[in-house]
Amino acid sequence: MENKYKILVIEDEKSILNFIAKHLELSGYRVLKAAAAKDGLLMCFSECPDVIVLDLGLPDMDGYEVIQRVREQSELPILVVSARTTEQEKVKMLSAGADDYMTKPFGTAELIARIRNCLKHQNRIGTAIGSECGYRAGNLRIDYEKRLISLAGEEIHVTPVEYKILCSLSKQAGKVVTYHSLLKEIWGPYADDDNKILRVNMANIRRKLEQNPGEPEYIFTELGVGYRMRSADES
Amino acid sequence: MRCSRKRDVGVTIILLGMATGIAFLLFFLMPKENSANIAIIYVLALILISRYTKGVWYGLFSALFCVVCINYLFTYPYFHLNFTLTGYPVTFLVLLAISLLTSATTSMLTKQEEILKQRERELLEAEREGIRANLLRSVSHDFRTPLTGMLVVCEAYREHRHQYSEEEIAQSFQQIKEEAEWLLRMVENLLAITKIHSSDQSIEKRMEPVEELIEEVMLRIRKRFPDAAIEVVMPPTFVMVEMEPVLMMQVLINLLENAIFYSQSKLPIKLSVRYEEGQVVFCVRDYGVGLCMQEINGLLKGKLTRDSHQHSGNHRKGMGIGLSLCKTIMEVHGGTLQAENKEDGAEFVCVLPR
Repeated sequence: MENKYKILVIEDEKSILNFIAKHLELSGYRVLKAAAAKDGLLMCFSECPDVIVLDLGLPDMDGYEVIQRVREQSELPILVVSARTTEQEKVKMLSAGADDYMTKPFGTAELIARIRNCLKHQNRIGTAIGSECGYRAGNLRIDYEKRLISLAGEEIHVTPVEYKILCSLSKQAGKVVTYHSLLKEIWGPYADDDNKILRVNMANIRRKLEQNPGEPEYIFTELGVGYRMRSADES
Repeated sequence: MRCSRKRDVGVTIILLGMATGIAFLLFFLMPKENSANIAIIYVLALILISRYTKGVWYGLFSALFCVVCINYLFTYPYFHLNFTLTGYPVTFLVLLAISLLTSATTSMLTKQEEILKQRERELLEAEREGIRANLLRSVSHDFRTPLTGMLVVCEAYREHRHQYSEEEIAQSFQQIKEEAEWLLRMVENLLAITKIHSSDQSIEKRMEPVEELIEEVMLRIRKRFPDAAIEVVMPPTFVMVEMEPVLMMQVLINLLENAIFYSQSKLPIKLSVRYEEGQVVFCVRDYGVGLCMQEINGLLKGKLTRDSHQHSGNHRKGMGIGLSLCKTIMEVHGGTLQAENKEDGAEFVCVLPR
């Protein structure tokens, strides 16, 4: 069991840092602890962790800057943990390159689930082949080659725009994709920032995919921020 | 100040001009009965000027102008000033008196109006201050209760560690967890309050799809209460409504939580959405013990009275803040929140204009 995943936790609150570390270790991860952004960045580049869990309220550097610094060098997943909860804040962190965020306080089960999510996401980028063929979660299949979407074996008809949205979300499954980046990707860089068109398309997609649009299975809303697609099942 | 002086001069000139014009018309149309009518026209102009200008000087000047005008233009010998005519000093004095009296009355009225306004402002401020103090008081009280609970449990455990069985320890932890969760919900409500600008009670609204709002609400409720039975009913139409989504979420979450905690509902709690002409209606319906209407109505009117909390048996601390916050949020959205007892439970109805 030497090839455990390495997780770097950057958090200045000692009790929370120790608590997270303890829990991650119990769940079978190797944990690197950093109480300040500088140490965190040093460790990040010397130890090459698999995931970073980053608290935003660090005393020596703004979390936003930390994300940017990491992104200059590597694509490793960053899971932001923060007590700040405004939508603008979330959008800012996501567009700086964070993969996911959690609002304090959170349960340990949720933390572990999100970390798994991040790891999966990264593995897919690494191997590339899996994601090229298609996306599979629950009853939902997306075949990128044939441009086919099926739910429980039955083909679902979607418009070209809807297909593009689904493709984009499923290729980044598990990650929160902001309205802005979706708009830019589907409608081009000059798209209007008014996201109504996206919201309407999204509602149509959900009508086709979800049994109960009020309680979705595949595509989740992060109100005021963007959308997140359920991460693909491991094959 | 400068602007108002310009305005006053303007009013004076226009009114005097109009009076002179009308006087000329009368003078040429009905030359026989002119002098009395002309004087009355000028008196009217004088009263109006004194009423709509600030200070006595405009009135005084106008009185003088009127006398000269009448003398110069409308009395024989025309286009000559002649103050030796009998009764002239009387006319002049009367006009002067009218102008002074009107000005004095007007300025007194204005002053009184200002004093009234000032008093009203003070009252409003005091009321707002009162609400804030009241809120802080009840928040502190509501915080103290669960915190005390947690401290007591910790203290007891530290002192009698050895007498605790596994089960008791688990119980204590469960208690601490419940209290902490409750505190968390309170903090979320307080955070929501900060989103409403205290100065003008406004919020930043934007268009959001109703279905995404409901989805997010259900997601959070499911996370907190995985076992709660809740049924969601909503029409399939896609509708976007202008709202501050976090606050609207808070309203629905609070109502659902109240139903889960306090209603002892026998059937699944129902969250339903209706689209009506010009509005969206959200209903939270439970099939439980019903509401104490007197108390609920008090809360919905924004009265956070401590007493009403204490002598009610069936609900716990802090419900008051949650509910009156819901009411406030609906109001700043231009909507309403109402509560009603049905035969077999209670219903909260939120109306949001679209």
